Amino acid sequence: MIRQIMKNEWTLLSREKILYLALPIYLVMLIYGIMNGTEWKTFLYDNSIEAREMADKVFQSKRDTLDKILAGKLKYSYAEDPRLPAQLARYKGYEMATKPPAPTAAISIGQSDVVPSYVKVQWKPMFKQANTDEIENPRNLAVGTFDLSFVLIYLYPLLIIALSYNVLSSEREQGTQVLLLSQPVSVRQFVLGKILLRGSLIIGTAVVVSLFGLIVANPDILSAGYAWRIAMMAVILALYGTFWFGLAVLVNALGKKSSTNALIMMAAWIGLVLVLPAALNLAAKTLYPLPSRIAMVQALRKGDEQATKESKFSRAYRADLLRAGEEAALKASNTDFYLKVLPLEQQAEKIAQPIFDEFENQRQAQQTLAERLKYLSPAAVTQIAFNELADSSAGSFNNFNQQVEAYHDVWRQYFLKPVQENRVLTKDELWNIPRFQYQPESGSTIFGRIFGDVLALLIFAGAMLVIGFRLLRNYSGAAR
Amino acid sequence: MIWTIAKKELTEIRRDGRFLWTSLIIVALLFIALGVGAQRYAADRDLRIEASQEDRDSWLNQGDKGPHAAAHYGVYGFKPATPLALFDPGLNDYTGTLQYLEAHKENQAAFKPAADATALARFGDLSGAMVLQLLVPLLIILLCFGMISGEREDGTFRQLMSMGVPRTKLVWGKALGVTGAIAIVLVPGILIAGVLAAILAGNNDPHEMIDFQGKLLVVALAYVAYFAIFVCVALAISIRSRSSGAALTTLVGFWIVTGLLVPRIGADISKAVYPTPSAFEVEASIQKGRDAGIHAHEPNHPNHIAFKNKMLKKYNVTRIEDLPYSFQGLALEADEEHGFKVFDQNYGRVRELYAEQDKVQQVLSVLSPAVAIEGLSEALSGTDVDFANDFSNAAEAYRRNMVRILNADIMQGGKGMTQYSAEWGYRANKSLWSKVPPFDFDPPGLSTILGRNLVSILVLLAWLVGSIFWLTWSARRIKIDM
Repeated sequence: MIRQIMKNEWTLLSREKILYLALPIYLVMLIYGIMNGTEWKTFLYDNSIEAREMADKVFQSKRDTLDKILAGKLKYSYAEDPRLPAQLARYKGYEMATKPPAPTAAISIGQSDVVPSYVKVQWKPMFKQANTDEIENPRNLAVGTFDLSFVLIYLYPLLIIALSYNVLSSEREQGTQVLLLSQPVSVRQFVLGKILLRGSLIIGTAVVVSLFGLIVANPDILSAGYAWRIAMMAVILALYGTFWFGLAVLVNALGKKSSTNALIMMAAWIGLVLVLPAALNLAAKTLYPLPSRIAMVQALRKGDEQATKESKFSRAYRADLLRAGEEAALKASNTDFYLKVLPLEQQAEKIAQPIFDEFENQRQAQQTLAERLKYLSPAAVTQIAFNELADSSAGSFNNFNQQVEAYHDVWRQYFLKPVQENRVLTKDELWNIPRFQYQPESGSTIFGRIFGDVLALLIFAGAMLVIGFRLLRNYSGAAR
Repeated sequence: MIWTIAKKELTEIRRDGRFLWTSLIIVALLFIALGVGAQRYAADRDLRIEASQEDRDSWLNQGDKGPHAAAHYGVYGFKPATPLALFDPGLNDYTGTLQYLEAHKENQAAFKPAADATALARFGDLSGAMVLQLLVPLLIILLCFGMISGEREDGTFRQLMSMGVPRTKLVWGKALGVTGAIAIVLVPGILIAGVLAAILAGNNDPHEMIDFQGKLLVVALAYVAYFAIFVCVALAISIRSRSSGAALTTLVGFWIVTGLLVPRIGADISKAVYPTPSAFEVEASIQKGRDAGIHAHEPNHPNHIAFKNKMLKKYNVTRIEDLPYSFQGLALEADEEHGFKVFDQNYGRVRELYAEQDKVQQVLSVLSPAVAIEGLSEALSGTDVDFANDFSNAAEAYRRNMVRILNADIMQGGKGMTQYSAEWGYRANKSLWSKVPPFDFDPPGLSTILGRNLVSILVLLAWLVGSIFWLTWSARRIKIDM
């Protein structure tokens, strides 16, 4: 029976002009979104490779210099000895910690256009490191990207609304409802048939085009074993679409005029996709305001002043040494100076630490609140889930930054030891400086994070359908 | 006649529950947005003023040290804001908040708030500007979509015509009624919220108040024009649509295309025409440029040696200790001057690129009044790219002045010393630090802003004039039956 209804519906729908206008636009946008995301992923990938190579080159040049010195091919100068540990750790050497994009990065650009995917690591605290932000025009960042997740979250519901806001009300307005009710078909069966047809058309297109397009543009999704992520994406976008279809059933079951239905659906779209997420963002920012970065800068400066005072160490130290003669002063100050300065800097950072901790705590609290508040809007849930699948979420970058901080400690410890022992690096040590290796979060971690999202969308979609069809049971057919 | 019609429409609108609820929501959002905006603005401003003061104190009391060490200690420039930013935060989440000013390097403003935000932030900032740019047009659409098509559907249009009501007068009366309804909601709402925000924001630095009244007036006029465009377009579409449903669909489509799609596609087009280089490319190009400099800190570098020989020859001496200025000072200064050129070239190109991209988007606002009002509103609120660039340029000019003063002091004070002694043995004190003036930044004035956004202004005006003509033209040709 349902099949028969769907078949009849298809005959009707296939004669609608809007279908032939909207579907091609929809297809083009899906493909455009995938292309945009893939292009961005390539950009991130190239950058991460280049960044890493840049650091490789620096390390290699130090090794080459040492080789030349040891082979007697280069005039030795103490100041340019590549083995000086403090100098290498502070400014002559650096590591580029990179976060290469996930194979699925094209799903959603997410936070990856505002948080850098590679950072320079040296001795100085990561906070003081010159930023490696992309230099994208702020206007372009603010406007937002036209990626697959934009098409799916903003535009896909609009198409659903356009094709389903009047599934039942139009029958009444065209006068075909009486005919319909006289058939041995219940209203619910009839609506189910109509929705199933439209659903398989729109959701089906979204699923097929997204999966196929992503795989064709990013074959590494399959080879890297990320297929489950795009399968999850398909599930999520199907549930998100089902929610909007469910809403259409519910609104139609209220038995109002088509134009009223359209208004209600548009209001729901504006509320859930545009206004609510922005309002939730405002709530999270207001309830857990982050300490300003300005305050952190000031805290570090004050920490530095206090630590200097406490240590009674004078930075004019080298001037005093000069009395012993320049060469001696150079050597002594380069070793002894840093022996005193490095712990001093660590002490200064320790003094400033509370505000950094507060920042981190507030950020965590804000993030946690946002994670809870998102459940009020299916659009927010979907966006965050897509970001997780693309490894472009705030959480993913947070994890990267924690890995960088851990590596930063390794970097410091590695060079601090020879400074404390008042010696230059051995050849072995220069060759074996530990490198940063990004560990992407495991599949099970990501799955754990989006599990709640999938569940929430399931509830959203289910609730709409159940309430909608329940209301339809009492559908009287008279306009209200 | 127009007034009678307007009065009748106004009464009808006032009795409509939909209008009441929608406008209540909009006013409530406006209050929340402006209230929170004002609080954040005031907190940020107080912190900035305090930090600038502290930073200045740190600079003055950094103790006796070599001038070059002081240049490395550096100063922070904090990006200011003008009070209208509490209404339109614009691009503030996407531009850096502070710029570290130190020797050798033109740092870019760092710490965009967006990088620390949650994913929700990308859905947009609920600000006064968002309410006016996106939600008020929806209210207008809601009021207007059925104004003529509805009369036709109800059969009242035929009656009106039989009574001899001129079509244009009917339409303008309706337009006036809608305008009155919007004004009744928005004018008191904005006034009360604005006064509240002003009280919350408190006192402002006179710098931040430059041309404030003028900017406020132009912002207000721009939004009035923007709303008028929507009233005209909505009524014209109501006239030309087969049914109210069709009018609503077309109008919502117009709103989505102009408010959501055109800005994003515009950004993509501008990037396709003028591709933004990666930070990497720019950094590499700067490295390459700076590598051609004299490497002031590397005495064995060929460029350094060449520079030394040049100086020795120029002053006709054989030892650097015999030069009339400290060689260390000369080398540092020459290296900085070389760096300035390299930075100007590279970052200058990036800024030109932004300007070109913005121009493309401004031209594309021909397709969308939303793009035009966004750009204009941000510019007047001091939250656009130009403002961020003005700040960065001022900060960089300050940095250059600072390193020049410090290097000039080494050139004099380190005279007769070896390079090492000049760097580490020579010390300056507070009297030198106070020769570097405190950082000061004047936001651009009204005329500068208007000049920069001429395209947006013209496009907005063209939309206004065009939509008025379109409405008049459509009004004369209203069909009694579609």
